[in-house]
Parts: sequence; C-alpha cells; structure tokens
Amino acid sequence: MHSGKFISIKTLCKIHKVEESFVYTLHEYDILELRQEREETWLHEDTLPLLEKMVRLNRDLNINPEGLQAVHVLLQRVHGLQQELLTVKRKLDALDMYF
Amino acid sequence: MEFIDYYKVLGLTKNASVSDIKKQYRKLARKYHPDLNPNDAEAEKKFKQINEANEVLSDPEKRKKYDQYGKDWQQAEEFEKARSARRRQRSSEGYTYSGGGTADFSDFFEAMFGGQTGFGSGRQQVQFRGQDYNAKLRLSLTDVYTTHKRTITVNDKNIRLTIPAGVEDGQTIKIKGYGGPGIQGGPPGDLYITFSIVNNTAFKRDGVNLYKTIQIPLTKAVLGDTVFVDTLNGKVKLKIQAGTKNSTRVRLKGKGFPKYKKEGEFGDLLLNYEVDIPTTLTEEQKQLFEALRKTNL
Repeated sequence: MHSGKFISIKTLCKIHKVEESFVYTLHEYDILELRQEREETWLHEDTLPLLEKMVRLNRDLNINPEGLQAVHVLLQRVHGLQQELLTVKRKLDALDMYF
Repeated sequence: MEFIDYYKVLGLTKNASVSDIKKQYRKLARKYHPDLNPNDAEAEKKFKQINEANEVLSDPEKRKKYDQYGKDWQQAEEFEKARSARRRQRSSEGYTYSGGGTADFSDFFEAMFGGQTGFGSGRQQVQFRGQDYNAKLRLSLTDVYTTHKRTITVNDKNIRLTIPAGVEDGQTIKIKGYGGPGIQGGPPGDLYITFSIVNNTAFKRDGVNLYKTIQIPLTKAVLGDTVFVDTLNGKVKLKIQAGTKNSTRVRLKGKGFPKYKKEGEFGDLLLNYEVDIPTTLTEEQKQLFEALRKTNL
C-alpha cells in the first residue's frame, strides 16, 4: 500500500483542466493506479508526473489511450534497459580497475 | 545569432501548404517528443527546433513576416521596434503549456517575434505545473563518503541540500517545487539533481564495495607479516599469512562505502594482493637467493 499524499481526481481534473473520463480510461488501460475511498477516487502524488506525461502525449501528439498504453509499456522497458546498461557499465569499470 | 531555416527544420519547401506544415510537424513531433525519448538531449534539442519552426510557420502572420524578413533578421528587429508601440497596446497572446522544458526558443526567434507564445499556440489555454529543471552536481568520492550539507544555486535561487552519504554516480534526486513556476496558476515544477561523482581516491567503487590492489613484498608474502592498509576512514593493520599467493583476495567487512540512507551500514573493502617480485637485487640479496636455490626452493 502507498504511503504519502493522495490527490482527489475531481480536484486534479479541475486544476489541470483534464476530463475525468480521460483519467479513468488511463486506469482501465492499466497505466494509472487509482484508489477508491470515502466515495471519491484518488491518485497518489507520485503518479502525478505519469498522468501529466500522458496528458502531454495525448494533447501534443494526439495519441489515443491504446497508443498511450503501448507507449507506457515501451517506455518502462526503455527505462529498465537504460538502468541495466548503467549498472553493467559501472561493473565493467570496476572490473577494469580490479584486474 | 544565426539565421534558422524553419522550412529546412521541418523538411519542407517554401511553398508548403498549411496542411503540409501540420502533417510534417506532427510526424516529427511524434519522433522527437521528449516524453518518448527519455534522457536524450539530442532529441529534446531537435524537438525544440521543430516546435519553434511550427510556431512560426503555422501562424500566417508570423510566417508572412518570416518569409519577408527571415534572412535579414536584423532588419526585422528594426521592423519590430517600429511596431512595438502598437504591439504593447494589444493584449498578449495566450501561453499554453509545452511540457518538459520545450518552450525555450532560439535567440533568432526572440529577435524576430519577441516574447514566446509556446507550443501549440492557438489551442485551448491549459493550467499546468511548471517545467521540471535538471541540474548536475559534481562531487568527489570523498565528499559523498559522509552525509553533508551543500548550497547550490539554480536559476538565481539558493537551495540548501543535505546530501546523504553513499550517493551513486549518475543518481538523480528530486527536489519538489524547485522547478519552473506554474503556468496559468498551476503548481511549480520539480528540480532534478543528477550527481556526477569524481573518484579522487585510489579505490574503485562498485555500489557499496570498494576495491584496491596492494603490493606486498616477496618476503612478507613468503614468511607472513603485518602491513598497514589505507581505507577511506584511516589505516588498518592487516596480517599477511605466510605463503600468501599472488592475486589473493581479502575482504575487509564494513570497510567499504556507506550504504545510501542506511546510517552506520557500510559495504566491504576487497583487496587484491600483488606480490612484488624484485627486479633489482643487491649483491647480498643475490647471494641469499642463490643460497635458497641450492635448497631447491
């Protein structure tokens, strides 16, 4: 379970001028994790940058939810590979010195 | 300040239609959008150029001015000055969110068109959080051996940071709310600081472990002895076992690098012994080795 702050979807959509249905669609496509409590839906503050990224991609590039889901999965893979590459590079550097 | 050929940036000719510009812009934006190219500075730069080109060419008024004065931008500046009084009276154009720091335009653009209007101008105004800032902080390995405070200046703002011991090279931390101001009343962006750790020691670091090769004299390797070894927090006395072989590895538990955000916990120091074979001998040493040889050693 998450700790930290949660933002009400209603408030968030009002501030960011985003349709609530868009946020729920992202949730249906497993892009965003939402939480139901006290008859409201909430988004964890750590997930906010992801939502903003999806809004930008939707608005700037006209990418539909199906496309956003594909982009999300691929970006996660890119991120994982970049981290792996960094770790491998560091290990190689260490081995260069050690041997 | 260099002239920028916006048509060339978008891969178009001067007689391109509005629909050609839109189509080509969308195509290139999809390719170079910063959200689709994480940690790619080149793509971000390219996206900014595309964005700027579209900002000018998709606006009939700006395009007309660019076509008329583009190559002679200095004259365009004069043209602007002449119109500045009229322009000041007009209400400013809406600023729409661009995302990921894409709204900073070239000097050429600023000279020709004055203040920026942002990506996607003409579409709905959006209230959004400010852009995130990225900064790089260069520290030495000994700096990050202990938790310490440091003041950095980002965009004329002093920020006092506590840098925890054990920060890794390339690690990024987020400082909430220290990015660009929010747009249309939105919240401010965040500041991301990436650490660049320069190794100023004789140790090699891999995560929390440190590595070092130390040379031990041949006699100490054969007969055993004690040596003093430098660690990052002082010297330690180490017993060399008699008959220590070359490339023997020794692990000194807890003498490595501090674990990030785990106070009092350290990695290990891994030593690699390199037995120092003498290359020059005194006459006396030579005689002693000859005597050893006779013992079939």
